[in-house]
Amino acid sequence: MHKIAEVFSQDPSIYGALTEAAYNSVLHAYPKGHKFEYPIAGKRWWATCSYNPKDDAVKFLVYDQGVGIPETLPRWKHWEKVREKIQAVPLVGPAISQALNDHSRIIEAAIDVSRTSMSGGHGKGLKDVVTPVDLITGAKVRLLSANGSVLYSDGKCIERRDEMLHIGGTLIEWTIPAGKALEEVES
Amino acid sequence: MTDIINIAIDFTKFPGGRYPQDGEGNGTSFREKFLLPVLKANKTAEVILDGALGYPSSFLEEAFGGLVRTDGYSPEKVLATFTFIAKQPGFQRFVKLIESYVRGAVVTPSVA
Repeated sequence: MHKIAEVFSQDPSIYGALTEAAYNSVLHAYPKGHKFEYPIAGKRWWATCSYNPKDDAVKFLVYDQGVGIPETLPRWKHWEKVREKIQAVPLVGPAISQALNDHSRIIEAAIDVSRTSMSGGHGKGLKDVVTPVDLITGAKVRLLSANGSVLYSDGKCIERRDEMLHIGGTLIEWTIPAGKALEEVES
Repeated sequence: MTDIINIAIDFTKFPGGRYPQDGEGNGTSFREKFLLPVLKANKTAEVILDGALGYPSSFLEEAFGGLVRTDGYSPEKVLATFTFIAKQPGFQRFVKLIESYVRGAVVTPSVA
């Protein structure tokens, strides 16, 4: 616990990432009429963390049982930019429309748009989610949302895949190398 | 005379969310209680960012960008009114974010 508290309190970007992830759940995960897999759990988000002494790494997780990021993005003000980014990938024929349905591609493009957007107002949540990873060497974050899975590290998505089954919400898992986090903020 | 606003002491160590329904540490409440009175009185203030656990974008954008977008002050006026103290490791980034949110905020026309 001491190690977790040490990392959490000494790197301010982690607080922002966790808070924005939970806030995104509050704002977007449960649109009106949402059908819950587990109705008794309601419109909640859950967070937990752990420390692995073998890897000297801390994991933070935030989960909700909402519709998933790809479902909420068409209502986002940057949705057209997300579409453009996906369509910019050199694909032809049916592969283009397939790409627009790949949840992992949608999540990857949304992260990219949020990170690079210079406009004000809303839409910085995903940027905050990946900021600790951008700042701390060796950190990574996995976003599992709807049918998509994206692993982000070193300033880009390094792994992307789509699953047959919907995960039943959004799970975001940060892995922060404890020693590195402290070194980075102390330097 | 310059006012001093120490966010962690005067407001909260746990800032987050935009609106009052998001919790006590929300950006709207901070803007209305601490920032707007300084602008209305045509004074200046030093805002101490150190001491909080961090600053989510939604809080910073609503608190400082909201001065332009919602309250109609110019970015130049806002940035001339407030100076920022951020000495803790990793906190200078928040000053740059505030400046970008103030400059990037677009005025929302009021609805009568």
